[in-house]
Amino acid sequence: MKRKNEFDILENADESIVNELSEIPVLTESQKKHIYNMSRRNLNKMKRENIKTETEYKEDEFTVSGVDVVKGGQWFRFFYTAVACIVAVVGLGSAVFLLKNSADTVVNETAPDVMSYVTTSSDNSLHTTEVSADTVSTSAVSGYIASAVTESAVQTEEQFTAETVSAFTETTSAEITETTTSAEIISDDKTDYIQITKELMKALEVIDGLYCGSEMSYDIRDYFVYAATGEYYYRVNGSKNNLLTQDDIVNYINSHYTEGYSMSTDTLFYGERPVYVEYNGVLYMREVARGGRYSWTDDAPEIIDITDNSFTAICKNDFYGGVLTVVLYIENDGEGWKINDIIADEW
Amino acid sequence: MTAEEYSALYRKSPDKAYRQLFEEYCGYVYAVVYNKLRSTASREDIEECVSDVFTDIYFNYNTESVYKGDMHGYVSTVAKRKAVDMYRRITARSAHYTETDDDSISMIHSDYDIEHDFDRADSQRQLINAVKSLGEPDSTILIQKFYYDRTSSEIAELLSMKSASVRMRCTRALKKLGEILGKSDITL
Repeated sequence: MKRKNEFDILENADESIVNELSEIPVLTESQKKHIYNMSRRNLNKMKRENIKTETEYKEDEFTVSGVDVVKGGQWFRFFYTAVACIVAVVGLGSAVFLLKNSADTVVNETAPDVMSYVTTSSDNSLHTTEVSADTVSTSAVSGYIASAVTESAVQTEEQFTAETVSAFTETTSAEITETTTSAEIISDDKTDYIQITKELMKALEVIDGLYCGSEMSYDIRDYFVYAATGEYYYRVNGSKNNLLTQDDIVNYINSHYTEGYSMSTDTLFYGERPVYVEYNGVLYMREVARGGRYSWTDDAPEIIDITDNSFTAICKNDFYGGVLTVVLYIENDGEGWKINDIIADEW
Repeated sequence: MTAEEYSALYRKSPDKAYRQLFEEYCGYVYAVVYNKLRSTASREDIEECVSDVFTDIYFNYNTESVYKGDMHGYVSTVAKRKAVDMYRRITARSAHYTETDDDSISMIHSDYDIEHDFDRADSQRQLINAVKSLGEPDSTILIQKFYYDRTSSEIAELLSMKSASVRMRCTRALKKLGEILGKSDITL
């Protein structure tokens, strides 16, 4: 409850007063970002659900009012009830039959990277699911199932249970139960987008490494003291991706981030405590807290909202054992596909 | 941002258009919504309302419209309406019902008081002018502290100052404001 004070008089003011109030700085950057992330989540959810807004409903041309009374014979009710029961029994029986059948299928003796199963779930809808093989294990290939599109992948984790698929060495069945509300067949057309996304995910790891120190190595014997803060900056003497000068880093970022989004990396070189400083033409860095944010699970990114020059990728981030959803907004700005925005569950 | 610019950008990249619109109008929309919901809604409700405003514009603004001028008026209208909707939703939760008979109905007066509204508008104007006359950052500190109900650390983050400096300046600014308003026979 807000405390009462004399400024309460400014409530419900006319437009000129509100305009003057809006000229005063209203929100911090973190507050703006928080509201933006919230609005993006709502926007994406509504886009996916294709929900009509209240305005559209009000503007509908036709309205129906009144009650239409229909009288029919009593025996119709019994007939329809019987038909519904028969359909339900047949449907359940088919589902059980098909599930049992899939247990006998020998998928492959070799291990492809991705396989597709078409299964029928209990509500008779078709789902295509992908199984990707973990190629690290040599004795038995273990797999896990990435489910198809769910209606709110950003806000909630899709929940599914599956037994490990070891179809390459034995023919045990994988029981898949999904709670997806919509089924989408993943076609090969998205392969390119998935590949682009994976490259950008890799770039995110590199850029993250620039912040958390995992990308660079430095010589602690060669340092200078940054006058503004009194901190020690050490000469960079190695980089996993050969980013040894400020230009190298800036060019790398600009080739993977759009112009608007690359401003989010300004703290690498600017601000009160830049991570990197060029001193006499040589790159130096300060000590940074280790531990990056971007460590991806092996799930393939989910591609949605494809247009001529943009698409959205929903990726899974392995955050210290937990799984977070990270949404990448990717655009082609004429120079290539780049990340335009990132929204993630709160870290 | 003009309607023409927004529409052109929307056709090229809806996401970019949305981002740019948000960057330009977020502060303004927040001010409009907050002004309506300040004593009714929580901060989370207000933020939700702000995000609803931009979602509404994204889905409903007609990019084929012939209008090419400033979007300020459209954004302002959507913001006010969303705020009013939220106000009604919140106050409806605490609605109560009472019986009325013909006699008591006739005794209920209209709450529209022209003189009171005029005085209120005049006081608002005087207060705003007095606060602005203090200059920056004092005027921002006072508005953030007493109107937006922010803490000293939030104000410090906004103005890149230390919390202790914010508190000190706030005390002095408040005293000075009292003196300015006192000259107009208004007491804090």
